[in-house]
Order: sequence, then C-alpha cells, then structure tokens
Amino acid sequence: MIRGKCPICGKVFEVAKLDDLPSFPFCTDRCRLVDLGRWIDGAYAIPEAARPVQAEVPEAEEDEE
Amino acid sequence: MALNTENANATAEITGRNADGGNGRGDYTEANIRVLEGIEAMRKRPGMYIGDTTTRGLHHLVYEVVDNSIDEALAGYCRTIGVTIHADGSASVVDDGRGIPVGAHGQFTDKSTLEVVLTKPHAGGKFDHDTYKVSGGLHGVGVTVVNALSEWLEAEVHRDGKVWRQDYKQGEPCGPVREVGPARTTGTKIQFLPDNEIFPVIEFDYDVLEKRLRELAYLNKGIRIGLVDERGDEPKAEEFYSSGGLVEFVEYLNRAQTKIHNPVLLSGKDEERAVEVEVALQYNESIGETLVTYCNNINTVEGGTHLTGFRAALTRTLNVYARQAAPARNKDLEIKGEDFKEGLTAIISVRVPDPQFEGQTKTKLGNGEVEGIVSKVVNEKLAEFLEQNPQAAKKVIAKAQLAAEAREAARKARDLVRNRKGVLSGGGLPGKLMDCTTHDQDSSELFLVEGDSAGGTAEGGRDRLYQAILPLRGKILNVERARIDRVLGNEEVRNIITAVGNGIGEDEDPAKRRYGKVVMMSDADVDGSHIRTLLMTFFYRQMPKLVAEGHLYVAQPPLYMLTQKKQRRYVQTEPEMQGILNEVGLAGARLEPANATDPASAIEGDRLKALLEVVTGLDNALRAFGRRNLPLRPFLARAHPETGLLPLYHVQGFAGSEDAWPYTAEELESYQHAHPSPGGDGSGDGELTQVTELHEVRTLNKWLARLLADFGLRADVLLPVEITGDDPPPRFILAREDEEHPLLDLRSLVATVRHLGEKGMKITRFKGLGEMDAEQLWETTMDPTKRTLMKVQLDDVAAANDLFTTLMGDDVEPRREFIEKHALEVKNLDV
Repeated sequence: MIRGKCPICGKVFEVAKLDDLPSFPFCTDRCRLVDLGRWIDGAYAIPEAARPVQAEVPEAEEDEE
Repeated sequence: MALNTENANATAEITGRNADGGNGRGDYTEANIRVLEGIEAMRKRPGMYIGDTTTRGLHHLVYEVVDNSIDEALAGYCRTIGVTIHADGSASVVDDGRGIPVGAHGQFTDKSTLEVVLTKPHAGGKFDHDTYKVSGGLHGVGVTVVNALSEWLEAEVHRDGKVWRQDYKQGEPCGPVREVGPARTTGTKIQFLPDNEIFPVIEFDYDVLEKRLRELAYLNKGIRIGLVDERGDEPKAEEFYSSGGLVEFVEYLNRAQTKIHNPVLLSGKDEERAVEVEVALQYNESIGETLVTYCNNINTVEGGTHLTGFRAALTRTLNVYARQAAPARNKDLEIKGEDFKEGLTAIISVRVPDPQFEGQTKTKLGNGEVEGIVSKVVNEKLAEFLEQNPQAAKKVIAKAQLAAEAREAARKARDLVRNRKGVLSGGGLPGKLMDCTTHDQDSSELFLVEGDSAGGTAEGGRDRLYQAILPLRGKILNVERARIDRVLGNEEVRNIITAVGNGIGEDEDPAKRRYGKVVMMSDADVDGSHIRTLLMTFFYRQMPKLVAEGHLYVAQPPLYMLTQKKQRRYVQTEPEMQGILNEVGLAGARLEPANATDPASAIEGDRLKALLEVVTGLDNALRAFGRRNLPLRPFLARAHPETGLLPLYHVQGFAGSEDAWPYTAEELESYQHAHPSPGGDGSGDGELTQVTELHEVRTLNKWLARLLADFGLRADVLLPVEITGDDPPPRFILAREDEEHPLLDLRSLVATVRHLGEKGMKITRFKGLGEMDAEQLWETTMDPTKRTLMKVQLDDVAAANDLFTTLMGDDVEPRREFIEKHALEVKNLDV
C-alpha cells in the first residue's frame, strides 16, 4: 500500500501499487499539469535564507549523539 | 373565435371577483376553470402535446397527473401523493388534496368540471393564477392529454363527503360523473392505461419514475410521494420525502463525492413579479460540474435566464471575495467563470407565474426578468455566506485558483511544445546542449552542469563520444526580497525536457530517452545541494519513470585534492579527509605519559589509533558542552570516583540552596523526593528549582567509559595540570620520528595529530566545480573508471513525495529539516 499526499492540492491518496495511479506523485494529471506550469514559471525557488541554518547542523548532531 | 370570447369573459369574471375579495382563495370551484381549445387533435398529433411517443412521452403521462397533485400541494391542500404501477400495466396517481370539483362547470353547463378538466385541453386551475399562483406542467395541456392518449381512464374524486366516479375510453366519457358512496376524506385518484395504438411500448419503467418522483420530493419539500410497483413477483415500494428540500437534493447528488464544505442554500423572492428563487450549492473535490435547473418543477435541460443569472452572480461574487480575502499566490492569475465550475454541484429552482419556454425541447427558460432576480439573490446571499464561513470560502476559492492555474499551465505546456518545434531553436535541441556523437541508450550520458563556466570545463574534460553536457543557470535575484533564489527557470526546464527527450507527465516514455544516464553535476556545497534538490524534485514529479527505472544519477566531485611528492589524490568527503590526516599523522607515533619511567606505558600502533578515536569523540562532545557556559574544570572534577562518569543532570536551586548534580535519572528522582519544591505544585511562580538534562554528557560518558576501561585514564587528563602562577607541565609526550611534541592535555592530541598529518602535503579544497580544470574534472568526476556516481533511488516513493512537498511548502521549519537531512535516499553505486 502506497500512501501519498498530492504536492499540489494536498489531497491524500492511497493506492495498492504505483501502476494504479498513473499521475503519481500527483492525485490527478491535472495537478501534475499545474506543477509543470509552476516549473515553467520558475515559481519553485529555494531561498538563500536556508543557508545560515546549515552552519548549525553539527551542533544538532552532537546534541543528539 | 367563440372560445376566445368565452375565455375573455371568464377572465373578466374572476378578476372582478378577486377585486372585491368576496371569494376566498381557498375556493376551487367550477368558475376557476377556463377552456381554451378543443381536444380532438391530441390523438392525431400526440407529439405536439407530450413531445414524443417514446418512453419519454409515456412517462410524461404520469408526470402530468402528478403535476396536478403537486399544484394542489403547493397551494397548501395536499400532503401525500401515491403513484402505483399496477399489475395490469396501468398507472394510478392518488392525492389527498381537495378533489377536482364535480359540479357543473360555468362555461359548459352540461358537463361536470371533472369532465371539462379531463376532456378540454388547457383547462385546469393552472391557467388561472388565482387558484395556483405558480404551476408546473411542461406543455400546459394538463391531464386532458393523459385521458386522450389512454386506452381507458378512471377518475375517482373524494369531495363533499362523497365518492364520485367517471370512466373514459380513449378520452371519451362512458357516462356522466356518478356518486358511488360516502367519503370521509378528500382527494383525487386518476388511474389509466396508456393506449397501445399511440405508444409502441406501454410498459412503465420503475427507475425512470423513481428518478422524477425523488426529484419532485426534493423540489417540493414536505410532500410525501410514494411509488409502488405491483408488477412482478416481489412488489417494489419506495417513499420520497424531504424536509430539507434543495439542500438535501445537493447532498444526494454529491453522495459519492468528497465534499469540501456544507451545502449552502440561497433563497429570495421578487415580490412585485412573484418570482421565487431557491439555489442550493456545494463544491466537491472532483473537477466535474453537476448543475440542474428547474422552473416550476420542470427540469429546464437547456438552461435559460435563471442559469445565466446564476453563473454571472457566482463568478462575480466569488471573484470579489477572492480579491479581498484570498489573493492568489500568483498575482497575474485571472479566475474566470469556467474555473468556478470545477467541482460545483448546484440546483437552481425558480417559480415563475408566467414561464416562457423556448428551445428545441421547450426546456429553456426565456423570461428575461428572471435573470436579474436570480442574480440579485445569489449575489447577496452568497456574499453573506462567504463572510460567515471563511473556512469554506477559502477552500472554494483555492479550488478555483487551482482550476485557473491548470488552465494557464495547459496553455504554457502547449507553448513549450510549440517552441520546441520552432525554427529558432535549431532542429529542436537546446542551443546550449553540447551533445555527444553516439546515442546508445545504455552507454550515453547527459551531464546537467550548474553554471556556464563549469559547463565549459566539463565540455573540455568529457569524452565527446558518449558524454553530453547541458549547462544550467540555477539562480536568480529575487528583487522583491533582495536575495538570491535557487530556481530552475523556463529556459532550463525546457532545455532539460528537450535534451532528455522522453517526454513528461502522462506522455513520459522512457524508451524515447536520448541517454542511458542523466547525471546531475553540481558543487559539493550547500548551493550545489539546493540545485540538486530542485532537479531531483523536477525529475521525480515530471519524469518519475526515468527515476524509477534508475536513469538518474548524482556526480560526486571531490572536496579535496592532496598532493604529496608529486602524487595526486582526491578526497570526496570530510570524514574521509580526517581519516587520511589521522593515518598519516599517527604513522610511527608513540604517546607516553610525560613523567613515565616505564617504557611499557607508551601507547602506539593500533592502540594509539583507538585512543585517538576516543579522544576525538570526547573532543566533539566537549565542544557541545562548551556552549552551555558552564565552567569545565569544576564539572570534570565531578567525575564519579568509581565509574569515572559525569553527572547527567544539573539541578539549580534559587533560594540559596546549593546546586545538585545527579548522575542518573534515579538519583534525580530521589533528590527531588528528598527536596520537595515548596511551590512546586505547578502553579507557576513557586518553581524554585530548575532541572537541566545535559544531553551531550551521555556521549561524553560513553567515551569516558572506554577511556577508563581500555586505557586506565580518567576525565582529569582532558585538561592541563592546574598550577598557580606557572606554566603547567605537559601531561603527555607524542614522539614521532625524531621529534617530541609535548601535550598539555590529552584533548590536544587531536589537533596535534592532524597538524602532523598535514605536514609535507599540499591540500587543495575545491569550493566548486569551477576551481577544477578540465583534466581534473575528468579524472575525478567524469571518467567511468575512476568516478563514483550515486544512483537516485526511490525505494519509498511515497515518503519521498511527502518530503518534497514539505520542501516546496510554505512552512520554513520542515523545509530546513529536509535540506539538512538530505532526505532523498541516494545510494552509493560504483560504476
């Protein structure tokens, strides 16, 4: 059983096997199309702001050990 | 002409009576019935009156009779209607209304009103707004046509305490209406068998009747409509009743759907024109639209003015709300009327005194005034609903925005394909692609390289026979937020799709891919990992088969180059680099206590290596402890005299009591038991002690235990000897080749060994692909005989999907976590 959440509309789906959902990882081909539209627009961005956090990683790891 | 004159008289008479108000509206008498034209044409041209003589027309006979009962119910005199399909194939409709009048009719003094209703077309209360303000019936021919098209018909009326009866054959009365007995109730029963000379098939279909009667029950809430089928071995019976009306109807239509909010009822009335409007709507998760419209209970299949008014008002009101309360992420997105159709289930029901039906099947409402009335009601009531139900409103708007986005995306995708075939793009392949000569689907490779300069280096280093290079520009300045964003732009996305060549989405066909491997090559730093994450997300979402079939790879450019006596060596990871430095630094080294006299106390070889591992672990944990701002020396002095371990907890007392340092959870508990906090009842201010768990001490203790067990050393050796006013003496001497390195404490072993390892070695750290020359890039990252490629695996695709969603989501925290933990499973694979 494969459970997933559509990255576009957030709908949760559950299928027995991947072949049952040709639009995977989306709930429908329409949501996949919306996703493609966002790629084409360059709407997906990882902001530079995520960077400083990286420096703190060792601390987190040590604390967990 | 004669009939027309009579009509005019009749109308004048009724109007006059109403004006003086002498006769109550509840009276349904002979004078209310007007006669418009003759009956004979009906049997000759049945299609003109009931549409056709197929199944549709056949069932229409039942509807006509039921409509009469509904009219009686709408006027407030009937609560129950029973429809029965009898074993002999006939149908009957019974109601508990007032009963059709049986006295002499005003216009036809020789006939009873019942007979006039059954034999004169366009006779009936429905053509007189005094009796029925609003009335159903498709063609307005009433029950006369049922009589005319039936082999036989029996009418039974319970009225004035008596039961009246009249029989007909093919529309002709077999005799006058006669009294057959006493009656305690009132009502009308019409039973008839359709004429086989008119209808090729006279068999009623239970399901067809069921659908219409259910619909009528919803449209006229409070009326009980029964359906019985006496044919067959097991009679069928059902009752339709709705107290909620249209709201329940919408719920019924949406029964198999996932709803996104509760049904809404929008109703209103135009008093002046006596038009009533009722609209029920509910959005579901599907993308289909279910919209049913009625005028006076008639299903207006072709729509009309009520539908036009509804659509205009829905689009307008939702758009107004969206603009002020839920703006789209993309400001340029325009939501159109069609976008609000997706997932909409709605029922529009209007009651209009003088309906005009147009269109092919006379099921299109033509009354112009209705458009504005419906529009006004929907505008006002829907705006009200949206204000009062912001949660539901948000979902509806989000759905429409998605629909608009999908519409736009489809257009962009078409443009993408069109551009690809354009002349300007040179044969279809991207201009930036440096293609390879062969296109063997197994051996050819496409490198996606971040940055034009690195692309140039890769071009110089590649084997152009089977390696292709596509440079990508992966960042833009986000002017709005004054920062640099990692993105894949339009150009990049199009280039990737075209170069890989296997199509996207539902059209993806891995057999068409132009390369055996698609290799992402980016810097080994954070920016590089961001662009990789973007690329992986793109491939995962738009080319999942390429990933699933194992064609996506990540190149592993080195982090360091070590040069020693003209020997070059590349190092991929930080831990690997540390391992090398330690190994070189420890070669031939010996560690002995500074005051040792016994040479056997020296530590060397594998034991020294093991010690270094322990000390490195201690060093890391001590650095974490350092961030607590607790003095280290007194803390280390708390090492347990027997076990050598350090306390796990720190209890701070505020009321002058001393701090406590329990070693274990049990000790903490017994301490707290022995020192109950006076105000420690959770009331807030009374908390006098604070307990801190020192997490990193667990790690420290793990290594301290090994230090004691394997080397007989305790925590004190981690700090220099404490001496006042003088330099402390070294605790250890690290001897290597002919040198002796004094160590003030054991902790400095780590830095000393590393320093020794770096001696005589040139270490170059590559900050990015651009710092390598073509030859270096080839031999470290691209040469199949030397490189390491990581194959992107999607073992647990569903979990990966969630993480990607998180990555692109609005929540910053989970996204950070994702980036830090590199959640996509990538496995090492030597190629």
